[in-house]
Amino acid sequence: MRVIGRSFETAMRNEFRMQSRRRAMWLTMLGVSTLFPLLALHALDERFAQEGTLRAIADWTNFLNLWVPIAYGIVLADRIPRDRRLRMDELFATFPTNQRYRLWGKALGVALATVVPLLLVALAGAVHISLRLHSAEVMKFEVVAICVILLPALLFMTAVCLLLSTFVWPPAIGFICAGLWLFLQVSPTMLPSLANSLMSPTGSYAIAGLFHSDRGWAGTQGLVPLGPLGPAVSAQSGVLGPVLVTVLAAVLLGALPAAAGRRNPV
Amino acid sequence: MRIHIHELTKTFPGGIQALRGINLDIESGMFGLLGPNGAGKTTLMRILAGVFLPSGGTVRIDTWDLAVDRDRTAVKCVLGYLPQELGLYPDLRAREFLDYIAVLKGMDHTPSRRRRVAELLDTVGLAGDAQRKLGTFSGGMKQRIGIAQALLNDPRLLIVDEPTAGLDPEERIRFRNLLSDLAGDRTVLLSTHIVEDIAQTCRNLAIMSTGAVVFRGTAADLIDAARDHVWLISTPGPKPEGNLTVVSTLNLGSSVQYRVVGEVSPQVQGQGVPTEPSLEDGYVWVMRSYRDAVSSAVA
Repeated sequence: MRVIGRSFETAMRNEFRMQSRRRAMWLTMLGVSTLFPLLALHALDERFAQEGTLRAIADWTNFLNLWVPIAYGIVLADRIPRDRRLRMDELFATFPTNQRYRLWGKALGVALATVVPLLLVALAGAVHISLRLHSAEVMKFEVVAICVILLPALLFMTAVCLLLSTFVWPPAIGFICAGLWLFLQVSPTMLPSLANSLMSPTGSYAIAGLFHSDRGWAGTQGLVPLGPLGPAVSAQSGVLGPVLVTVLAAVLLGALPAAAGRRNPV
Repeated sequence: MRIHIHELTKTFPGGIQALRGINLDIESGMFGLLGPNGAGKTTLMRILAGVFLPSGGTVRIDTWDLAVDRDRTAVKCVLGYLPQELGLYPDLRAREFLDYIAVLKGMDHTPSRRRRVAELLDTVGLAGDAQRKLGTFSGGMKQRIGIAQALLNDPRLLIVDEPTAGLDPEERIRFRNLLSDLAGDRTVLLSTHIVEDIAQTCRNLAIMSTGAVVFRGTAADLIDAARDHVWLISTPGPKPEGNLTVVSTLNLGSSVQYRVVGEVSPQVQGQGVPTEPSLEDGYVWVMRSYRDAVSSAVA
């Protein structure tokens, strides 16, 4: 049991280290997450001033959440194929310890490292809003918004992209990530999707239920109920949505060792 | 450790037969596995390391049977493996990498693990580079880190696959010496297509070709196999004809000296001087004989 914990912890620590030392990761994540907010700074400022503190924070976090998970997924996508390319997977296959804990540690390590630049940008945005709105509560709300909007979305993308990378050609993963994330933001009245449902990783229920904003809602239909997956908006469903997305991501990550092992030549 | 391989076969999806009924007994000490690219050496190494499962036949390492899951795990506990062209993680420092691998090998006692990492960095001559990122290492330094990771668990069985490919001559010699020093009472299995590596390090060896073992014996046996079949032919004219394999060509200005292996034809025998065979000549002779035997069997 101790060895299992050690494998998980050491894989997480070293993958975090490696991902943190990638200049390309910092450039991509900081570039993508700051470019659009800076371009739209004036318009955003006006909107935030009209919305008030709580909605402004949801709006800002949702603004990041609109496209940043795509770049995040792309940055993560080469981590598992890289082990194959470097022949590290062949080496790992000769070790007596179970490799599934290493893989889960790896997933968490790269995810945490890639989240850091996004958190910095999200918090920097919150500081800006706090100064504009003269509200000290902004930082507290931003932490909640990160936990219920941004992190479940990123965890979902971690699971999807790492799982895809076990059987899809890595450069194609970028297109799949982009397609999937945009598809999840298309109104379900146009295309059947998880958008506007409790399972939607775009955070619509958290934004509506906890921040009283419809910014996260896909399409122009307002708060469209979708049967059992789209209950009424409330504080409870605002919490339940992110929890379900986290569970969905955990289930997908649970399948990661089996998917990666499928490529193992044994 | 004693390795007993009996009628070992490996067929990959698509019907590619990489190993065809290998029989081999390997005792403690350095053992060389020679053969051209595509001979099946890497497949055999991977089976012994537990990366591949055999399609047929048996492999026993001491009392462990590699077909049994539990036995395979037991072998992995005493195994050190250096795969061909191991890339390493370029963003990790040498010490961090070895520590990572040590944990994954099951060494969970931190002080003794750190001691072992420091000791091995010293053994492979990289103690001064412990804090450098692996991405900045030369090919030879990477191979030395590769061998250090293989030795972390003080393995009784060490498998190294083509470790000197791509190294400059000095690094190759250094790496060969390192392997010889490490052998001790371990079983070290060295796979290569560079005859010189085997000549300098292994007393016992096998030659593989097209998934089969075509020679098994000592280095002296291999040299003996080519006795009376190696000639030096000096000629001002073109390359000697006949069923010969030219091992080396030396331009002497007015003439060219060819070192040839084969059943020298009477026509060139007058110009040819028999010479003492080397291990390389033995290798060429065995491979020639095997190819001839296969050709005549097919015909």
